[in-house]
Amino acid sequence: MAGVIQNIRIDPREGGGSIEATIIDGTGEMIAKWLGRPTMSGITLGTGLIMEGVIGRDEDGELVILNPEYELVSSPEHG
Amino acid sequence: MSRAPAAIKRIFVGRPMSSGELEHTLLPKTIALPVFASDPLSSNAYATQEAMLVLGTAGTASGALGLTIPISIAVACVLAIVVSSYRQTVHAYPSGGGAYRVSAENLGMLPGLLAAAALLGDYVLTVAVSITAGVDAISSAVSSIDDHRVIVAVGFVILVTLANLRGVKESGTLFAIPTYGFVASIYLLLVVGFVKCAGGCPQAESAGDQLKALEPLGFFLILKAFAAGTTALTGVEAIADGTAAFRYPQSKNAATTLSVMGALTISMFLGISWLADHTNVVFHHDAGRTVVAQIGAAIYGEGFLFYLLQVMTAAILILAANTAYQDFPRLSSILANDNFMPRQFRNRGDRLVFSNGVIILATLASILIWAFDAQLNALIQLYLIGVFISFTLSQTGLTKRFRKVRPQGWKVKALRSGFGACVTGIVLVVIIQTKFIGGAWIILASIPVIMYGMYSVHSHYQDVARQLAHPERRPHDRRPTHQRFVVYVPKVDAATCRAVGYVRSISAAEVTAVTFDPANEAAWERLAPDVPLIQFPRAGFSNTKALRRFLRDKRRELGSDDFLTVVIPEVLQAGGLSEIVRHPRMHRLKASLLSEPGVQVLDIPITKADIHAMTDEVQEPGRNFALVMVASINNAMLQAIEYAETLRPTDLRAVSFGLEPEAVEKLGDDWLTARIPHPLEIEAAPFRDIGSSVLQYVRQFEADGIDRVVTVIIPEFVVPKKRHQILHGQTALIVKRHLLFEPGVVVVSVPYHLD
Repeated sequence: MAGVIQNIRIDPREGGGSIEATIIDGTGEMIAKWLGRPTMSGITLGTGLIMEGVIGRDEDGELVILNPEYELVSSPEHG
Repeated sequence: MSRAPAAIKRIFVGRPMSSGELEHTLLPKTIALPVFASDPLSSNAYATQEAMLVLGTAGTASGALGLTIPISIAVACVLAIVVSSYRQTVHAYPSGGGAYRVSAENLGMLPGLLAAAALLGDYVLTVAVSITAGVDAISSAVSSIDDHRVIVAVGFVILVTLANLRGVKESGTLFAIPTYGFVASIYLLLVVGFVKCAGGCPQAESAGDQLKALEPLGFFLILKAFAAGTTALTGVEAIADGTAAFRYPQSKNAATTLSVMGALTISMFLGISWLADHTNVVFHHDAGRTVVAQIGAAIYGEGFLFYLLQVMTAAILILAANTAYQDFPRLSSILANDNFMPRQFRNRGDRLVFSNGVIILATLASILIWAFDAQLNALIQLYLIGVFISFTLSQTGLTKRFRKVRPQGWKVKALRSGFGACVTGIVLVVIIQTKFIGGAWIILASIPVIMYGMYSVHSHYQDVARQLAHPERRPHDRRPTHQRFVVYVPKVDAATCRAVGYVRSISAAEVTAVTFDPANEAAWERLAPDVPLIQFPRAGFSNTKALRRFLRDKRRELGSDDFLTVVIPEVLQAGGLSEIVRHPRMHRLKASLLSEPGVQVLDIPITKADIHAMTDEVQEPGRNFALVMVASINNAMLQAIEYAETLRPTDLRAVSFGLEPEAVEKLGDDWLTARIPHPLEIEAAPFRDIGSSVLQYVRQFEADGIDRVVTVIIPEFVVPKKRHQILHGQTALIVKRHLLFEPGVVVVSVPYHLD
């Protein structure tokens, strides 16, 4: 699963702080969510993200990947 | 927001480009040469001429003009030294920045500011001088424009400005033609000239003219001529400054381009000087034709090639001004990033071009052209100082860096740049001495003023940052009991109705209403009998003062944890900023209230189209979505969050738009460390148009103003000195302007007062 980060949501209230990144690839969007993260370490807008993990749906019906293994790609080429 | 101005902008400037397209605007060497080197190449058109002008003042009888070639050789040597030194700069600083970066990093803030001021002034002069010289070249061929030089010159300034607002790559291709055309024309001239001279050089039209001796032919005069000839060096800095614009590998490409440019310039310059000497051109102030034109006329006659030469010369000169259009805004942006210039200069505009810098440059250059009546020689007197200040500082800084960092072969490198620094330092002294009275004093006087300006902008931003950094505030679950509303009632209408509804939904500690019109009493009784209406005697223009006094008294009764909000309902006629023109008093009232310490201003606008037939009923919105606009963590932002908490909204979150990637990471990290108990959303604004991004984001909440409301809370800084205020708050204005006509959106300004 790969895409470019368009939106980041940080919620310090949830379980030790959670970071959600909304990524888009050509076909649609998905949310990558990490729980219990203390820092951003490279997560920023426009970065590419290559992830592995299980995809589910959250209460709003959005596709979510929880705590995925990931790799950052800086300045990805635009399609 | 009105469409017409935006549409006109599109026609002239082109479609907006997203940040991701920046990569595609990097330049290959073949286009980078014309874009960055057109200035040094073009100065050949007038460098020889300037030297001859000085030599001519010694009179033709003295044979001073015969010194043209030796002086040109000396200038060529200096040029070679400077190019060789700048090749090292380009490798040491691949991200560019030129003399400013090198001086600031290695020599300190003051030398850095000196370099910056010198460069900025110089870029403005490059535009003025190049365009004026271009007009000269044209009038050498078409003498009828001689009387309208200023207008023609300013016209060209506008043309180049528009081309640059469209963006580099496209104009790069456009500029390649005249540059290569000029180089080809000059070489053709040289070749044909050498061939013809084999059988005795044709004589220029001014050969044999007699000039009176106005000055003795002495060492000082020779130095003055040498200094005049060094105009050939102007613009060498540009490539080093713009290394970041080259395709990868950037340093190597930039260095190669530098060398090519150096070789071309030296050969053209020496060639022109040789021909000028051998065709016996005699040049003086009121000459109708430039030296190059006279050589051309002598070699080609008055034919097609002559006119081609003039056209190409004019074209490259006008485009040489373009070099400055690359670097002035780029340097302004770098300076703004380092807080030496106002923030407005920091960002790229719609076409990935630094629009504000471009416009300021064009304005200043036009003023200079007008002030000096488009006289080339007058403008050149101001020209060289900045160039050689930056040369000297840049090479000195580089030398110091080599000695500190000690890369491989540092001794030789340091020697090279050190030698270069000495040479340009000497030339600088010569220039100051010889051109002082002629006009250099203007520049020498302006530079400290510019430096002071930059320094005070910097101290101001530092001061603000220091005040904001103290984390004395911590949002800790504020309640509506900390909130008090004062509703301003100019008239009882649909907007007031909305205001009452909104305020009621919050259950604040206290709500009062204020009016200056006794006629509102009865209507208010019907609308909101539970809210006391305080009647103020009508005092005309000092209504605002009376209101402020009332607020101030109220404020004194409250604790430091409490918020006092003035609610201002507004009925707007139509979309468009004409609103401000129509109701200036309201606008002034809002602005005035913002500077009252301890008071927040909540704006409830409603457009006429939005009013339904329910004016008498008051609706309390069931859902209130609070958005706090943030850019970084500071006290102003924390105060805004506390404010948002008192509203007890359905959903509270902080939102940030249009930050650079590094700033995003920092904000995220700071947010997590500060443990602010609310979510933060960071949105991309790919076209850097924060207003539209905010609008789009707000729309997802589908506010209707009746049951669903979005409250946008904007923290603002208020600084004590009015003139410093312009350095802040631009984003707040943009956001407010975009949200004004959006239904169901309430905007609150939460000012944080700095000392």
